Amino acid sequence: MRTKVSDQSVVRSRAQGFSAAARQVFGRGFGPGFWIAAGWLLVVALSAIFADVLPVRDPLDPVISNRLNGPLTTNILGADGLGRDMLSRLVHGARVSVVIALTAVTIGMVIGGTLGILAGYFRGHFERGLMAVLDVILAFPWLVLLLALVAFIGQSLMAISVAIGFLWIPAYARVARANTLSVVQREYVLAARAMGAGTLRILLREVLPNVILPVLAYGLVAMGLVIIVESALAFLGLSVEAPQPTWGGMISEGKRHLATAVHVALVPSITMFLTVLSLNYVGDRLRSRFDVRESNL
Amino acid sequence: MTDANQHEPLLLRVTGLTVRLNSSHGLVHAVEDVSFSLARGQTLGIVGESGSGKSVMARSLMGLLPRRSIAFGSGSILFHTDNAQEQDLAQMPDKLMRHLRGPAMAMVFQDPMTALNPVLRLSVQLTEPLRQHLGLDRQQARSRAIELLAAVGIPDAAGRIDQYPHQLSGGMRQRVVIAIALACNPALLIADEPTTALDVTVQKQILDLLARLQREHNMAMILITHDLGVVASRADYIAVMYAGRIVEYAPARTLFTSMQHPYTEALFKSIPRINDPSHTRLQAIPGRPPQLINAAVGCAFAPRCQYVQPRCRQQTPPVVEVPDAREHRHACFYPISPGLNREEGDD
Repeated sequence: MRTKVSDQSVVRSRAQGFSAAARQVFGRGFGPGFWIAAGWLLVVALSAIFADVLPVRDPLDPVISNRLNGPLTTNILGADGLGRDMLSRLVHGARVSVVIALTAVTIGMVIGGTLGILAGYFRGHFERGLMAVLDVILAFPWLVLLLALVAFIGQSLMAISVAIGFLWIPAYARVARANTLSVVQREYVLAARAMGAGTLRILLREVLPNVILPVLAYGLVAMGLVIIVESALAFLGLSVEAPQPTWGGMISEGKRHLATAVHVALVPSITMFLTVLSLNYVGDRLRSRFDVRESNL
Repeated sequence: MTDANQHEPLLLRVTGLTVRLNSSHGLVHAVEDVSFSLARGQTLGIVGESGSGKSVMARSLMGLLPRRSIAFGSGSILFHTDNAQEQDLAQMPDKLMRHLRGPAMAMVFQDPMTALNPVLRLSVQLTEPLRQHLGLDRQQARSRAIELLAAVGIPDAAGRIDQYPHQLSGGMRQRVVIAIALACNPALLIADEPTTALDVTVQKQILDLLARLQREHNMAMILITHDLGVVASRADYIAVMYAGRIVEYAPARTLFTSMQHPYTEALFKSIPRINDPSHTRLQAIPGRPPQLINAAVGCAFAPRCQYVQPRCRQQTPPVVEVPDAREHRHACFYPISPGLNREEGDD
């Protein structure tokens, strides 16, 4: 009996500990807006993952009789200029957007984050040199740089992801560096050194876990921007090659029918708008909790 | 200088330690010509106001000052390791020094709120040094960590070990900080104002805990504080620091019975006394401690000293031994010795 009671109290205290920890991390809830936005992102992510098994039509199958049919007619969200199902194309286009967003942000995060942490920790010539290079990249017109990169490495999904990811290295390096600068001044880093911890251990155990949260939170905002950049490329016909559906490509196609069938451009535009808005909203809420502004250093 | 104790073997001997740091305002004379020695199992209390160089001195002993901020450093820090070898920590490269931090010497920091990493579980923070220095595997380190937590008086150590620092109270956190410092059984523990950030009731518990652990491990301790009352009953020797210098050094009992330096006296008088009648005015030391930027001429305490003489402003008083009192040193031209008339002191 006794043990049972104490077991329960342990379980309860664990649970309380968890919710207390969650409150500490997430504060007093985010409000309904946050959860609606998060829900939309979940829908987009699930569509991307399960595009092939969802009960939608073939995104590449042109049904001439459905050409430019509006929403809620033969097709739920209407059909495009070739009579292809818009919903299906959105779902499959989500896959491209999500893959590029994830890959590009991951590339920027890993490379930029690593460089930023090293710069913030070691300072000196390495930091100055790196920051100078990053400033040059930041100052370069990103679309021109992107066009050059795509021309150089090709138009596959991976190539596009890598090219956009490269653009994100400077931003991430700056975020990681700023956070590292504040973390290395904390006493626990000194305490770790006082216990004989080496540089690698301090970087991995003390700095990284404290820097990674703001860097991750920044990731959602970055993904929103990546989606826009990808659609800009697609609009210029430089993203993943047709007939693979992408949101940017759909908007680009829709501009030919703007006068007669607005929905062809409008539906993917709204989808993208909602997705990017949700990413920004969720990302901003998370970031405001974790980010350390340079002015606070 | 080898005056620490005849019975216990000598552990640490610091001679002429001087540290000057770069700052945006100029050269900071943080530690000037500090000498002392410490035997195993003994406690040295270092007392001084904020900014008197206590913490910089402690960090320089551990080799924790950032290399690029040190403008000038001299003196020797002789440390006797277990095999009775004497090593000069001041000359030791950081690579070797690292292996001493933890097993040979460890440090307890002032603020337990910031001395623990907020995003790592206690288990991680406790087992890291055990695995690194003692080569324990994950399981061994974990059970040792639980023992350590229990040893510093944390109830339900096995349950607490997987918690995060924010789930503990300030006193508990300081106990954890102490447990981490003691993980590798150091011969020397430097406690840098270990109770300043804690409630008064918790302060005594932590100091008692440190005293008990010190006895159990025969550990030498440098107890840094700004409160003369804290070290009065707990230190074997007391060094009073002012403006980076040790202005008075004596066995604790001797210091309180025959203090020589006016600063020591002023510090002593500024402790509130329980027996004083209500509304007794506390005798604060007038003025503020000096900025340590660029060298000052004369005794650093002269501007605040109530016994100041013209000579004090022109020459820096050297450290001298008190006649007839072993191990009692001070740096004052006109010490407060019984029988000496101050008015006649000036010549």
